[in-house]
Amino acid sequence: MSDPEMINVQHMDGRLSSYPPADMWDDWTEYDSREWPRKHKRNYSLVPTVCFNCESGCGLLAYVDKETYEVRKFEGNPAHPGSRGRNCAKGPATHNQINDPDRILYPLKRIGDRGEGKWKRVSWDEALTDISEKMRASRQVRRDGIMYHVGRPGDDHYANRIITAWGVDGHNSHTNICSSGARFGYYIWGGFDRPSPDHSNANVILLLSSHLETGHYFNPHAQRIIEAQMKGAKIITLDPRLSNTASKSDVWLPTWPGSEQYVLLSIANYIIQNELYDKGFLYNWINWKDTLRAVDAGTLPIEGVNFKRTDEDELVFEEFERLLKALYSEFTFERAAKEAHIPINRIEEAAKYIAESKGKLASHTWRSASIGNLGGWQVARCLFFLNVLTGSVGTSGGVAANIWNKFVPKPMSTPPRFNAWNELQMPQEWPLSSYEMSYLLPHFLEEGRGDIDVYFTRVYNPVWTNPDGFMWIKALQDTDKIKCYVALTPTWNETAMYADYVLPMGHASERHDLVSQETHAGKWIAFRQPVRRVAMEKDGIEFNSTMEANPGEVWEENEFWVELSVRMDHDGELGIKKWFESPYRKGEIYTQDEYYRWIFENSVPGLPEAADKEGLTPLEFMKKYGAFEIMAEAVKPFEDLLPNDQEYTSNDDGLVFVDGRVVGVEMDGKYRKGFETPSRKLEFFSKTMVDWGWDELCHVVPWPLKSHVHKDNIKIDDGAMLLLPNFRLPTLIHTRSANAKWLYEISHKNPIWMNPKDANSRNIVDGDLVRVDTEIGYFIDGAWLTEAVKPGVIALSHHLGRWRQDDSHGVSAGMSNLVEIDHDGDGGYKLSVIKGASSWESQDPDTRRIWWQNVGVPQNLTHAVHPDPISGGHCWHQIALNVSKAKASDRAGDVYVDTKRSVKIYKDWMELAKPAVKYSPDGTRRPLWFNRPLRPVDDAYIIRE
Amino acid sequence: MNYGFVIDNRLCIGCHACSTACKAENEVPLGVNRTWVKYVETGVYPDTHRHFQVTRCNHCANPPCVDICPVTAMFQRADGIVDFDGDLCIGCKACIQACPYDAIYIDPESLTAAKCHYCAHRTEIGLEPACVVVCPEQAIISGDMDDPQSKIRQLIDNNKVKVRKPESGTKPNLFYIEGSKVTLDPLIASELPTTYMWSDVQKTTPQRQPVRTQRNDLKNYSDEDPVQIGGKVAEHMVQVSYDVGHKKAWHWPVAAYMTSKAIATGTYLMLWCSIVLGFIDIGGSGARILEVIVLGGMILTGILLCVDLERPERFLSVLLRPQWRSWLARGAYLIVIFGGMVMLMLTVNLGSMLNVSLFLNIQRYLSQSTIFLLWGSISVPLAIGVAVYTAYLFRQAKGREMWQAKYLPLHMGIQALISGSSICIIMATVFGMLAKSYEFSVNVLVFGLVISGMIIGIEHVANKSRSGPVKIANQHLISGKYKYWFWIGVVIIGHVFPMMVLLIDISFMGLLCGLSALCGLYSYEYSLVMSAQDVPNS
Repeated sequence: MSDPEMINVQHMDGRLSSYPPADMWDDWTEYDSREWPRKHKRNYSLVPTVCFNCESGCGLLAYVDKETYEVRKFEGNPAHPGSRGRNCAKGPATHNQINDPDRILYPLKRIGDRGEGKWKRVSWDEALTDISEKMRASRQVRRDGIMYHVGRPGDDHYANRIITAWGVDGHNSHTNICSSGARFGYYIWGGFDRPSPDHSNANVILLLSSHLETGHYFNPHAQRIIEAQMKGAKIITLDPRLSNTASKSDVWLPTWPGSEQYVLLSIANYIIQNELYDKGFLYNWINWKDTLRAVDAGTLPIEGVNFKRTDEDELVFEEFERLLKALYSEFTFERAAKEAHIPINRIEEAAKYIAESKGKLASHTWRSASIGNLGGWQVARCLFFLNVLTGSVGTSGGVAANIWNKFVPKPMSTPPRFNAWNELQMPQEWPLSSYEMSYLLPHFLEEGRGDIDVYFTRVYNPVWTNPDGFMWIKALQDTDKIKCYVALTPTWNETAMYADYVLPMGHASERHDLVSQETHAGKWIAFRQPVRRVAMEKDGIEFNSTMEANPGEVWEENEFWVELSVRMDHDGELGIKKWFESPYRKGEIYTQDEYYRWIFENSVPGLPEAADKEGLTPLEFMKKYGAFEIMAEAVKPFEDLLPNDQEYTSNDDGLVFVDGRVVGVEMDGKYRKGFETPSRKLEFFSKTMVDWGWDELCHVVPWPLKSHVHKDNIKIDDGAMLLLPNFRLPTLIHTRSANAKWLYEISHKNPIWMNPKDANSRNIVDGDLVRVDTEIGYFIDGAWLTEAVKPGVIALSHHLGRWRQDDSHGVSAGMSNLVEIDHDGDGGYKLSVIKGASSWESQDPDTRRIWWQNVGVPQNLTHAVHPDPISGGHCWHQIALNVSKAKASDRAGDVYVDTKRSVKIYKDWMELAKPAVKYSPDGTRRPLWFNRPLRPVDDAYIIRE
Repeated sequence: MNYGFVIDNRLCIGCHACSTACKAENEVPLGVNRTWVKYVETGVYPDTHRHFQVTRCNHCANPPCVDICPVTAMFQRADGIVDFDGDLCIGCKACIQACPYDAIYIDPESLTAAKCHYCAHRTEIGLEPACVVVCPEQAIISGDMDDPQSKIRQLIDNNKVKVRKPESGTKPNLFYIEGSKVTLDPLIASELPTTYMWSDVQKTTPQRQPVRTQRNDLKNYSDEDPVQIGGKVAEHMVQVSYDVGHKKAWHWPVAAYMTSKAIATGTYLMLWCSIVLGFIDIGGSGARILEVIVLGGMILTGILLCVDLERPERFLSVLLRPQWRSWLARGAYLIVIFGGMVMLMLTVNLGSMLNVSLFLNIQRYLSQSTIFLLWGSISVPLAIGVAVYTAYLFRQAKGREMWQAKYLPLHMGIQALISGSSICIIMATVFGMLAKSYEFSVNVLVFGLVISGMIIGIEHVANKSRSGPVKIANQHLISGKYKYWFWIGVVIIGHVFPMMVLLIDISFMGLLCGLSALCGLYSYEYSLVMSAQDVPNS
């Protein structure tokens, strides 16, 4: 190799550059850090891709060595509008994942019993043939026999298009253990299910989350939150534990879990009583007329509220204002302080900031309280109420709907919606559920509700991640219920151990995807690419498959799905194969380049022009920069006028129709788009709730719901406490951060955070082992005494406690406990730790240097399922029936669960639900205006016998 | 050009991105760190705070690691970056002792010293350090502090900035905006934690000695983070909730080398005193045996020094490319010259005893009184130099406050005399040789023990007024993990028992007292070496 020339990229004014200029990415030379100060040159190709360690979709720039084509490191992608070249700890750690000495390199097939841990290597051809034949057989007889169960999708449409092409109702997700509470709260307001706060321009940032350390979207949000704080914005955080975010906040409100609604409504009440709300916005965009009509009709039950309509024939806004005042007057600061057990002056301070936010209130909740509590969806609804009151909707510095800041381009063809309804995913008991009742699947199978012919998991590890994991083990071991189980995963996990096939898939830099996230007031797409393949292709090396560029026989999902689908319908008889044809080569199957080329050329506004300016094709542009910004400002699409090219009709309520479909709302004589709700307005009062049987005041308007972990339900005097499990660390991410050594070195255990007050009364000192009894069992873990958690609450992150059952397969020895799982034959399961993390020999010398032992406890195993009767979300908070010093025989990490008790609690919670069969107002399973991740035809919404 | 860092704690969110970006950029192995984020929690619920501090090399304007490095492996570049060269490093670990900030470690792959080097391999081609680039908050600011237009210069000029341990005189070039005393001060909390908030405490970390939940009065720290409840400073938690470990750099070989060196030099001094005072015949076998002991001691000293190197095969670098400000390099030359003279002397004397004519002639030449005096006036100061230079090396170890003790040079000289006189006494009692010098040796030993005892009393026991680190090191020594070494080893075996040589005049008592004094000396050196390293620097 010739000696490359060194180019200094220092700016003219003396500043150092953050990145090599994009023009040099194809051929960049820098000095080897390990050889320094010897000037050893290394020549790289810099290829952008997208991080996969959380949902944010931050840009990465892979340094691919041009001599060896090894990825030397990952930096940020400066061309990415969301992450702006910066990353969190997890971005650089992608390097650990691709070089993980324990990763799965070849397709494996089970040879013993399920879960026995005996595997043989098989060819991709053998695996594809077997699986596709099973899928074909299933699809020929039914449309609910194949299930794709995904944790983190990572792509915005690709897999969904595949499943739709199969014509089955087969999409299952993780969402109902994650964000469904928040989603429901937002959806019932405005027909969108995610907030997109514009932190940068906010005056007040109100968080029921820990976005300075975790969450969706940690890095992009954290950048903008602190940016705003430096410009004078106030940060207010509700969290019972002092998260890093809480610590950086101007006001920390350590609310008792489940009391958040009281605090939020007390702030709302302050704004209402002092008339500090944005009158114009409320007048235009809230369904106040419907609300007054509901009062008249009695569907808004206001008995005991000091409000009387003056004239039932008139719908006057002032009357609505009076109603608000009357309704919320009971939510005083005093009451909030009492419910939340926090100093009243902090609530008052927060209220003042929020009331003065001038339409620039950026608020956010995603998991935390909205998924922690029974009725947590009302937390999101009450939170967004503050945005509505302050007019901070779609404004600069306010909160937009995710769909306004996210761009999902259309592919070259879209398969038609299927006509099917899989009761194992969306059972009729929870008709309003945000997403699928995914975590109840083992209970449904246990009850004999159905079976699955072919079950795929991808980036999903329910045995470890979901509550009640032993029920999952039980279900997965039943080959009559789950007939074929295929785990797609780059790394061993607790669930893959029970698979029939374990198929290795690439990490972030080893596959294709298209990502767009609502990280800020703007819109972008980013292109995840297999960086070694791209770098080698640049040098003229040709590939048929990404597998050839990946280690071993690691493949990528996109190509795998194509091959699998085509084999499933090899003769085209099922009508599946045609969706996989190349838009450029008739009759041929598309390549990934062709698939994305079509999208970039045809579906992304502005991209072809931007590419043309640089003399590139759109595909070349995306391969070079990895991201494209479509828009960079706050928008209010609900105000947009409907296009002039159609005939509209409108009714007395101001609704605008096309062909009988509501498409907008009339306002000042103009037809505007409005919101995606039945009233096209933000729905303060929800008729949908009334229609589906939830007709109490606490359901139909923003109102508190009593949490299952309300103080009344926790017998503090008997030693009970509230267990707060659902928080992350800045360094770890669910099931995917295992085997990332740099992350695990920083954080590897989840001790029980306990206030010294609670510890003292239990004679617990730092480091003591503690036994926590839950509703269905117990776990053993060490204590971390700290003033950073609310007295009465114990907190431990559920992002740790990985285990392996044998040393040859499973999570790395340095990142997991070696355990034994015993089943007593009567529903009792005991997970006993044989040893903690240890060093081991591998081709990576670092594995010899693992210095930590304690890798935490898998507490989720001891959590009973808590399906919220409305949102369907799993209410994560647990009642710790007893918290005491462990016994001498207990070992850190031990877990015991009685699944008979977990079945009982499942049934108790199911009792709370209002099934469609009984409550549906119109014979549908679900309101038609409620979407599904993969929506079937409307006909499928109708309940059939 | 003067590169520095500003770390803006207003912006830092404690996310550890800098830590992993550094691991990636510099391929830093597990167990060691070039940069990390220390967490300290303070206050009482609900007035609790968590403080973050990105912690690393300060690229000092007066870098003690550069001063102490014997081979210029640590060096300061013209642009202010303190860089290192693994190809030169011999692994003596003196830089680790010199750094008051716990910034340096031994790389487990190369077995050479390493630390943050400002990504000099990147700045060389105009790129910012990796941690600066990755930081989501742009809380780490790099740049030329000499450039008045630079962002870093303006941040320093327009904000109140703090540095770690300004009192150390190192002039750090890393400045914290809103630096907090609770994170800047490594001694803020003083108890050993059993765990951190999400990680084990690194077991290879004997040196760290802070922290656990404690409700103390704030004492000196109330100005920084007061917790006001009801108008007065309340009970207060200060606990380190995340930190990394640091291995102790020096262990028993260093104590053993100090002991063997004291024996060799002390014996040489005793030999010369005895000859000058007429107690020993210069041509006698007693003198030869003492010379053998001196040479043996010096050889052992050399071996121990090399044993302690992480890269012993590079030991010659100290002589071939010495960095003259380093007392390690100076000491090496002292040892080599002195050792060489002793070897020459012994060779000549032994050769003469065997009647080799060449040696006889040399000996005759050397025996002339002027030459004899000249030889002595060179070798005796050299012996003293070899005996006490370690005290000056320890003074260069700016990271070990305890070793900055005022009387350390004197003490090391006295220790040599204790060792030398002990050897003479042992020889006298065991072999019945050197009888004439016995009483002189006993007097020297007793004198040495009394002075040594006084120095130990002043430096370690009665020392009340010294700074925090010295106090903590002395606590480790007197009442902490080295208390048995100290009270039994140093005090009883090392000082009290050998005094018996005065009281009881029985055969072999001299042997026991001499051996006891030597054991005591090792105990002292060991506990001095170890306890000073048990004080956290970060």
